[in-house]
Amino acid sequence: MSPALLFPAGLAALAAVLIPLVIHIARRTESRTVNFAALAWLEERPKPRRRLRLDELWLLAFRLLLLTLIAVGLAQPVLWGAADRRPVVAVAPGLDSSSYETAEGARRVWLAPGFPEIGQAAPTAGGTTASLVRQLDAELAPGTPLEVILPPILNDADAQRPILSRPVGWRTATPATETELEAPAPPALTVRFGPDGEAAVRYFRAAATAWAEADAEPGIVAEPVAAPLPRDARHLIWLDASTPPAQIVDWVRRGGTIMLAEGARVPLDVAPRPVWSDAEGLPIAALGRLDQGRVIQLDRALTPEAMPQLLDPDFPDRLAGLLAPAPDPMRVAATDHAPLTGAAPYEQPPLDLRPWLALLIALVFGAERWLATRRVRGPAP
Amino acid sequence: MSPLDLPPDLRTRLRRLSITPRRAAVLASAGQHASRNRGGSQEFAQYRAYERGDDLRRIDWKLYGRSDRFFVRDAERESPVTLWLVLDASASMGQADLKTPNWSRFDAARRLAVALVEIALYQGDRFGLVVETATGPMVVPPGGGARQRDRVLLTLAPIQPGGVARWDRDVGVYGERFGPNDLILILSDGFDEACVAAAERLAMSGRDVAMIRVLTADERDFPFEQGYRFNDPETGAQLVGDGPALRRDFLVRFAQARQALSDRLDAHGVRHAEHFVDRPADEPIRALFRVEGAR
Repeated sequence: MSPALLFPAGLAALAAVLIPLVIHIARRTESRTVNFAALAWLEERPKPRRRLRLDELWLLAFRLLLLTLIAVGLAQPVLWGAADRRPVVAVAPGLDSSSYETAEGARRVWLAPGFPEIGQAAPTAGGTTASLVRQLDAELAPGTPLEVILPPILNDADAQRPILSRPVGWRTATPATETELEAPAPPALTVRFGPDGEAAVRYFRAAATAWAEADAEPGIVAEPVAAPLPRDARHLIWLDASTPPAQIVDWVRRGGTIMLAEGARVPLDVAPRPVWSDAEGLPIAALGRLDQGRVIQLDRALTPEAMPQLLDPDFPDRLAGLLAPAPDPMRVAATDHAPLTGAAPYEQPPLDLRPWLALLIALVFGAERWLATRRVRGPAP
Repeated sequence: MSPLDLPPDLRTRLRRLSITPRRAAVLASAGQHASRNRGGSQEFAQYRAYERGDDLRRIDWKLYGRSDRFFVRDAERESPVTLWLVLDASASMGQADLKTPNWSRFDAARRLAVALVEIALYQGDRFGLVVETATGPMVVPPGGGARQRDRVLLTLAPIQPGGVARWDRDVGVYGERFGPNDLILILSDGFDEACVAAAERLAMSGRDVAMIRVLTADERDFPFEQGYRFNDPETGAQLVGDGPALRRDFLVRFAQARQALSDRLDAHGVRHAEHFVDRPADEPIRALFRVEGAR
């Protein structure tokens, strides 16, 4: 541990200690007039000894100390190497924090933003595991042992194993509650068709039928353009050459997904990029973004002549991929995602001493005020 | 703390004090110096039985007609002693101590005067007052009794010390009022040469002169802990100095000056005592009128 000043020029404020010195000396030379009739028997001294004399030394000492502390505070004192070197055990939220044993004297924290100590309220999960482990590695002093306890399956893995500056104890524990993952439901389609588009509805009905379970109703509702949008609509197929009305555009902006037939267009935030091309490389569909919503623009008429892919057996899968793309693969066994070492260690920020200094300044100031205002003071001002 | 109201304890101690003229011979005719001598004055005092040798003219014949006995009218006899209080009210008397800025030397002198009046009152002596101010003397003619005391108090109450008293000019004005057997008591700080000279002049003319020098506690202790600008209120002279540096020398010189003044007054037959403003007022009176044999 070594103290240091981040801003040594702040010590220039030490010049202010001259102020109380001047105050306490100047009062000595100031003389009060007093009536004294026996003046004839007073002999004027040629010159009193020129000795520096100070009034109220204790008060002066406290004032000097106060100004010195303030000057040091302006110079931003820090303490290097004062970081906590206890081993750290980080437990992923959702795990039973008492089900495993830890080393004596270890600091146990939740693997959650802010790293709250275990014993406080268990935080809800937040942030990705790899990011939190990297942050924890960066915030610990070099050489501090780190152990991370995780559930067996990570659902938020990165594309590569994290690279840390230290070896990490990477352990798994049984989560308190098992979560069953369900297969995602097929997208429910809402179709709005115009006079020319009604013929194309059957291709989407066929796709919805293909998605549905064997004995379930296909999730598709087809109505004319004028029909209002149901409250729970997620995926809208717009089979009309006209531009969708403003309330539908607003619905898209709030996060809806719309597929527009050829000719129908809405203003986009980002220029559309092709997401589906035929064998010759010509675009079939392009994906654009409108605020939080997704806009899929078809470039072909929805007829088998113009778009033979409508009759292909993989059309339902294509359509589902366009409307509700599968998430990126992020699920991994925790033991397979153990971090590597090799990253450069991070420089630890020094401990800022200013809060403690502020407390000290407040105490000294209180003492100075008490000395300066107490009832019993000498005859000197 | 009014200087004109005497504290009860001081009043009690005053009962044991008395004012005695130096020359006891003037009292020889009256025996003990008791003011309530029965005498032949106008003021009626009491009836008493006729004794052989009494003047027949003093028999009250009307009373004889009623009672068939001889009675003689006794009259109040005036005291042979008149006490003159001479107060100095020059600016130097307004000096007060550092610790008690509301109790000046003049306040102490006034309290002393009131105490002396109190003693004179129950002794039955007549008393008069002269206040020596810068504008001239204020004189209360001598008299006796409680009303005379009230006159003296009324005169003393509003006076503020200030200016320079002209003793050399004024002593001739009121000096002729002093009878040859009167007791003249000067209350002053004694710093003024003219004041001492006036006391000597009165003493040399054969009068009984006494002086109580009223000094402040600062002049006795010199408790100045820091630098001060010392100001003489009468001459306006000033001296800047550091208290501790001046202290030792001042105390020596001031003690010498006090001793020199005492010797000078002794040489002229002026009785004198010193009074410090922070001391009770009966001490200088007791010291001044101590029985000669006890010295």
